[in-house]
Parts: sequence; structure tokens; C-alpha cells
Amino acid sequence: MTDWSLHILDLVQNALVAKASKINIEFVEDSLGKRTISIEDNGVGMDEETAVHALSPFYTTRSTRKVGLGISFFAQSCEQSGGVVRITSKKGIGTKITGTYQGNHIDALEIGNMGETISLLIAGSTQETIRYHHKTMRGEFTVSSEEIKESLGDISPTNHEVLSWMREYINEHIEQIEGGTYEIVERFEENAR
Amino acid sequence: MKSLSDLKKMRDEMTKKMSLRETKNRLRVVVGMATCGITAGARPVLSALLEEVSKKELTDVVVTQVGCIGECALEPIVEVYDTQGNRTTYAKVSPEIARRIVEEHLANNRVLTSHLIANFK
Repeated sequence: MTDWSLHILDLVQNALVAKASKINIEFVEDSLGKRTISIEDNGVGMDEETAVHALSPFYTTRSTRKVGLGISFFAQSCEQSGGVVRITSKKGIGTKITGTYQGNHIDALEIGNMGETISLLIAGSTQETIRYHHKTMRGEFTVSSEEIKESLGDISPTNHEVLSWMREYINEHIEQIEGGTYEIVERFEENAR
Repeated sequence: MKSLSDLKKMRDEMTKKMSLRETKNRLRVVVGMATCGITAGARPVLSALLEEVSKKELTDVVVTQVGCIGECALEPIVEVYDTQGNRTTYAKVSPEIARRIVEEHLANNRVLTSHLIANFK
């Protein structure tokens, strides 16, 4: 996986397979630059044995092939940039997967085209509610399939004009609260004067 | 900066020109969106399919996402099902090939033989 937006698209598929009706995605930065990505669902959940093995690449519940790399890849991306992955799950309640990393780590992945990931998830959602929350030290932004579909009424979210609007809407808002480096540079310059 | 109120404007404009005819689904298109598909580039392929199907107003075609199809090395994979359940499988699909699948197969019923999975096995 080359960026976080692809990881998120991949991990949400697990929630969909688990028949979740609510999927909550968060991408949060704290004041020390640590970032936390979490995907929480109310799907079928895992029993203890499955949860223990979920991080292993040679474990999968699927029958089409014998390896399950999604979570392992995510763990690798987090660990290479100073973070960890944690999974909490309860049978019948749901699953939450949380990954952390240091935003300024030299090996940290880029956020990627989050607008495309989230807009495709919203367009593909039928019964499910999908909520995405992005928070940095500069502000926060939330989008949900419920509010989009409410605004759209009878219009399908798979309409090409709607899809590209959603992609740009999400990316614009994320861009606005990312790129905090400018402020830091300015502050350095002020101190140097 | 875009806001949700734009969406309501778009809705009003689209509702005016929306055709109200009910159509049966003639074709179902699925894109493999498991880890293997996503790493191979399935996301822009899905975007391209949705965009072209919508632009060409193929209201009798549905595009959906599925998990792993079982041929991970040949991803991104796109499958087209007709109403009888006959399946056509395309392998190693790029966004450009996806647009051609819409133009040739979905709109004009011409199978794009050069990109069938059999060519890659």
C-alpha cells in the first residue's frame, strides 16, 4: 500500500464483510504530531482466537486464498513510522482497529487521495452508514454518508458529477487543515529575526 | 470552498432533467476490491467505470465492489454479468481499459477480447 487512503479503503472492506451497518473512520493528529487512524464497526466481531491471529499474514477467514495481508500491511506501515496497531473486538458487538504513526517520521506514508476513498465508500454504501472524521491541530472535518444522501434526495451518489464533487469536497477540506508546516516555518523565521 | 449546500443545488438541477423511466438491470459489473485488487490499482478503475457508466447514462448497468475474486496476480479484475448469469472476466484492467470496457462491452455489447483473463493465464 502506497498511502493511508488505500489502507483505509482496504480495512473498511473487512468491516463490510463483517456485515457492519455503521462504520466510523477517524484520522486524528495530537499536539505531539502522533497520528491515529481508527476504523470502528458494529459488525459480527471476532472471537478470541480469530482476533489473536488477525495480525498474522498467514491467517484469514476467507476461502479464496490462504493469506490475509490487509491488516499485516497496515501494521507494517504503522510500525515503519514509529507506531503500533491494536485490535479490539467482541463477538456480536463489533471490531475496532487502531493504528498509530509519527506524522513527521521519514518513512511515514502520505495521506493519499482520501477524497476518492471516502467518496467511493459512500457511493458503494447501501444499508451502511459511513462516517469519516479528520482532525489536525488546525481544525477538523467530518463527512457522513447520511448527510450526503440526505442532501442528494433521489439523486444517486454514483452519478459522475456527484462523485467528483464529493472527491473534491473531501480533499479540499482535508487540505485546509493539513499542511501545518507553513505555520511552523513562519514561527521559526520570527524567532530568527 | 465547497459546502453541502452545493449538493442541494446539484440535486435541483439534476431532478429537472432526470428521466423517470424505470429500467431493468441489463448488466452487473463487479470490481475486485480486496487487498490484492487495491494494491494493484482497483480504486481508479472503479472510479473510471462509475464515471463512464454515469456519463453515458447507462441506467441499466450497475457497478459494484466485491472482495477477492481469487486470481490475485491478475488484478485489477473486472467482471461483467448478464441477466442469464453469464460472466465475462477482464484482467489487469487500467482506468483506460475500464473506459474502453464501458464503451465497447457495456454500451455496444462488443466483448473486448484483448483484455480477457484467458490472455494472461
